[in-house]
Amino acid sequence: MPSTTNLGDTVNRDDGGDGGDGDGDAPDQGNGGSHVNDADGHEEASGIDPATAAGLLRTGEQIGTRVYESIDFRTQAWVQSGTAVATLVYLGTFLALFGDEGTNTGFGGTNFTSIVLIPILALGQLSLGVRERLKATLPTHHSKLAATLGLLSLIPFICVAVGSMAGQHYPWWALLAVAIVPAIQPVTLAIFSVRGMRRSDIRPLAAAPVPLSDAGERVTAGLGLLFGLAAASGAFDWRQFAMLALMIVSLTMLALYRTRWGLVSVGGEWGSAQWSGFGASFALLMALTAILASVALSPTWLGVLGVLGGLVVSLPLVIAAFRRSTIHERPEEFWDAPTPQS
Amino acid sequence: MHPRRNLDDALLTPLRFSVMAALSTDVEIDFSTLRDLLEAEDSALSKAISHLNGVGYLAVRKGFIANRPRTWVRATSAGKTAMRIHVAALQAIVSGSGSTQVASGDK
Repeated sequence: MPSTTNLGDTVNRDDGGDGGDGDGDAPDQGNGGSHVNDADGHEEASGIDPATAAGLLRTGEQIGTRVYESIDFRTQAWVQSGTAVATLVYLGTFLALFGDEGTNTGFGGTNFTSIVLIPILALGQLSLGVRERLKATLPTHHSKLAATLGLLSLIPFICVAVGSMAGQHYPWWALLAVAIVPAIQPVTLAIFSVRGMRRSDIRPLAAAPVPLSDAGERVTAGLGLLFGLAAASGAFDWRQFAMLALMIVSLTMLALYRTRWGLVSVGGEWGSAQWSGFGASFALLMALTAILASVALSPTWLGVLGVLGGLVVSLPLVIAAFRRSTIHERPEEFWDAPTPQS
Repeated sequence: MHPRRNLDDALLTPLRFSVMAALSTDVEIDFSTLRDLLEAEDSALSKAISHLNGVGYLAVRKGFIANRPRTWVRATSAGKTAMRIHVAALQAIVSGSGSTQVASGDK
């Protein structure tokens, strides 16, 4: 009968006819080891008796339970809730810049939409970093259905955006409604995670706050400056050129997302201090862009407002870059997979 | 047909079976966590993952978190199907039935 309490006895060897390289001194298997033939899997198959099979099934169930218990639903719920709120704010601002009757038509609301695009693109990669920091993540059930519904929910948004480009104006409540629809999906996901969180025993550990890595500090501060520059550029006539340059920088940053300097890696380091800074910079950027698009000021005062506003936008994230953070799991806890030797 | 004929060669070692059992709940999990959950050794687990990846039962993804390389694994749909059939065969062996009809049509 196999051991069902010490999984290590049961699983701590992978043979598969490799001659025992690298695991030759592993302890003997506990699951009816007399039936196991290291060199030939078919011999193993013929040797599985009911007791061994029952032991394997029990072990499998135990492992499944342990894996489920290791899922941090709490952090997943936070990520999904934050994404839902940010999506709502972004789409609302986007539509307001496009179609709100109060938009400064002299500047053209559509010119501002690329400004608000930068933080939402960054958020996607940063939140991916948080999910990857988790030990185990449970992808969305019915992912194809969720993706289809997500795309369908964008239809009203696209229709209104196209209508706005054609000069159509919409009342604020219609814009708000259209912004809410695409946010329904992340909100629903967050609700599911909150339900899972109630069943989860995982609680944040009382880890000592630690500073970000050098790369994390620089990228975080750079992101704050990028937000500030993007927001400030909305105040100037040459903002289209500035935005072109900033978009190139942003897209380069996004393209490098899987590198050490990528936003996924940096997002995995962020703790509450950095996320608070990001939330503040994100909200300030959206607010400043909406103000610059609608306010009627002389170019000089508009420039002053833009520069000061840009500084205010960048400050929370730049300051957060140099603050210590406490996160659930320290990256130092992890060892990566060694290269298999055949 | 004897149920043992539905057992999957790739899942016959306890470690590979345990890896697939861990991942059969649609979870994506990082290497070190999987190692701890299975109480396995790095090299043995690495070889098991490599083998299962080779037969298309696992998808392996690599990346960096905080300047450190990380590896994540998840079961493919082929791996989940193979695991279902394998588990059905084990259940048939346990119940002592002479044939496995469960999930045999999935393969």
